[in-house]
Amino acid sequence: MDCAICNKQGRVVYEDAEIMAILLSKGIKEGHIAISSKKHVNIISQVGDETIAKMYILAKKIAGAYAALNTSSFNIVANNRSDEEFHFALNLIPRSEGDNINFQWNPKQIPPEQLGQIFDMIKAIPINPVESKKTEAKQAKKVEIDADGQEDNYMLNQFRRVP
Amino acid sequence: MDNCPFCKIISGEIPAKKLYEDDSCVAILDIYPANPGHVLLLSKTHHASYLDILDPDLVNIGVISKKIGENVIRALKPDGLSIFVADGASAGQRAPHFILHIIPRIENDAVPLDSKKQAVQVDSIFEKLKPSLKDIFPDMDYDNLEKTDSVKEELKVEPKQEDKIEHKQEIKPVQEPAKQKKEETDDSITLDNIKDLFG
Repeated sequence: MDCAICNKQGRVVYEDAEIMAILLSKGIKEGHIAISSKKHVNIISQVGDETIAKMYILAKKIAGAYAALNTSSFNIVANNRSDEEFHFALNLIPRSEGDNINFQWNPKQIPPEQLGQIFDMIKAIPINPVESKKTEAKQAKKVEIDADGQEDNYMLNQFRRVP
Repeated sequence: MDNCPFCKIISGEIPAKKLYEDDSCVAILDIYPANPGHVLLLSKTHHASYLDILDPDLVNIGVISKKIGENVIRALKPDGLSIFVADGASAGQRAPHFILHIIPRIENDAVPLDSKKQAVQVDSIFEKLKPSLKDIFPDMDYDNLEKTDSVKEELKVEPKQEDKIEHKQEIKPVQEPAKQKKEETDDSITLDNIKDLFG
């Protein structure tokens, strides 16, 4: 597959059996480091809880090294896409004044009633319990077996277009 | 912190739409969202920077960001989902408190989190980072890691399967040095011992 992360296009900053960090040769900016699972997945739901935790800790460790680029500012951006070639990653991007990167959105005004409705809709769904090693393995198996109509699949389809 | 509006939200002094709360984080609905359903995940303890969050809290915040992201998807069925952190003024951080943004995405929503990628310098940047990276990951053998991009591009040769396997074996687990550090900072978590937190 033509995946810049799987092909390690750039320099390997960190690698172990599950996760890796690649300084990308094609990035949003110099110093852009993609932190990802080694397994090629498209969305965060396909990454195990322990693996996602490791990715966040790795981001913290690596962001500390950006001091060498004379900056202490950085962004983390992670998008989800069901595009098969898309590799879910925490994108760590060092920032400096006047670097012409803009991640700033225009805040929207939402009527209080609509805000209340949205709150109720999200709050109504219980938070999934944190996966232990065992349940993680079980779930991975289950998804493989019931590939049709399973929730992971639903989430993937949900993201067909954006971002 | 006394004057931090987000600490006041966490303590309940300022009302907010709290979606979730545990020992390390609080999730609230953003009232001025990038898109409806935008959730702010706040560290429960006051920290301005991601880098100051203690490792066990960050482990939990990472997992909860996934769980809440999943629930936003289930509840609102958006076209996509983005996670965003701004750390430092030049990264656009405005709040004095650590915030992880979970943003449902809508097609053509003009939320600028999909910046175009371009060819950028790698070797000179890597050389600058290398001394710090060697301190952080003492077991990574950077000098002997292949330069994947330039070398491969030039030769236009797919690496042989055997090469890949050999390469893997050369990388030693990152364990011992981190253990030594553990005595100094009790909260620190190595990438290897994270698994102990997941039963």
